Amino acid sequence: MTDLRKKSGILYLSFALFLICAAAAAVMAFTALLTEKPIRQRQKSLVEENLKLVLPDFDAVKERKISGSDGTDSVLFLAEKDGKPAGKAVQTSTMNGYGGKIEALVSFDPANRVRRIVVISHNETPGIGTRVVERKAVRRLWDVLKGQKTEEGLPANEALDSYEGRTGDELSPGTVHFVSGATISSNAMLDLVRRAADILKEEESH
Amino acid sequence: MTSFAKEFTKGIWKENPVLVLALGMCPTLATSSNASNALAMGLATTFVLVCSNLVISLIRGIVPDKIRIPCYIVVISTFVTVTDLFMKAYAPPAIYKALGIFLPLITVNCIVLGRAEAFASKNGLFLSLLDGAGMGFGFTLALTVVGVIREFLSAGTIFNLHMQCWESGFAVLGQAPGGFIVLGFVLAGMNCLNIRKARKNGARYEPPPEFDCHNCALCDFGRTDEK
Repeated sequence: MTDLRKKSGILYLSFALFLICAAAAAVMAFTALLTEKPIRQRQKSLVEENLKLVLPDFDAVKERKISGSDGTDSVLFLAEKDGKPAGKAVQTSTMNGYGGKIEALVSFDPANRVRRIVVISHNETPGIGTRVVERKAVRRLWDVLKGQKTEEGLPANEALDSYEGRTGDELSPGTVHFVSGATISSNAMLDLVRRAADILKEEESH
Repeated sequence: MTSFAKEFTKGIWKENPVLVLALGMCPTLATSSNASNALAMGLATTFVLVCSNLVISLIRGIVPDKIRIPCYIVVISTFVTVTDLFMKAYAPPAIYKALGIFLPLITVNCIVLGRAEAFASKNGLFLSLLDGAGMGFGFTLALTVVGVIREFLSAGTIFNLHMQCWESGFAVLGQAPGGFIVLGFVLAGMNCLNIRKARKNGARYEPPPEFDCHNCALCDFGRTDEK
């Protein structure tokens, strides 16, 4: 038997490469088939989980996609419970963050006051801009050692919580919490919530 | 020590891919900003390393020398895609997002191709498995050590558990420049341990000769002097 490794004819080289690529393609196709469903389910449940965080109890959600004039896509969610409106939320984004795009879900109460804000994605500086946008549950060493249970629910964030209970017209740098050292991120967050309020106003006016 | 154990443990200390071979610096600096990301990245790379080492060792008899590199890359990228899809489906979303582009980039990680070319293409199935596992474990360990130090100093937490030493530390250590600084200190610490160990045995510490610049096939620099 000749040593296959020493072969150098163009036909054999192509054939060997073809064989390996075909096998690789088969393996990848099989994996894609296997993971397709869990990945789709997961993306769907992520949206649902975020909605559950910002909205009161609901059992059905209507979605309406809105394309803004500046190319940003937003989604208006109308939640229902037993056929009656239970809450509304707007998912929108701003490009004014320190690291570019910030995307958040903002929910409103029936009087169009901000109810709760959850930032879905951002690219702010760790330790500075993240103080404006991140809700992070902190587990402390002594609490864990003492066996104390960590608090359930949405972790607090001073900046995001300061928007709650205000209508879109009331939002200004004077009324919401600005984090010192993170002015750009704070401005971006204010811009984002104002956008969300404007979208809601626009949609309800027609 | 038997040679089997040696093949496994060499990747952890003597030929640690990050700390001695200095391979795969890019993912090391980018994903070691906190311990959980570092661990996840290490495990993903280990999986790819072990699988690709196995397959490359299996097909080493039929792959023509002239096209071995493209063949290895196809094998490696297949396993990277598989890992990427599985992590997208089952890993915690925050970790998958934090690893981002560095997960697909395992394909071009020098460690994986380096082991394929230097070891798996010349050795049997079992040895290649041990080599891949050892190298992957060493990579994971180095990454996690750097990650723990950076996370503790920059945020006061370890694996997201607040240590209550300080509220918020040096933010710079959480970013890429801080990664270089911490990595430098870890390297110095490792060299210090090696030197101390050698001194105890009455010898002088020399890095393994195969990593010496004098032995690099690419350049003859310094080959004539000193020797």
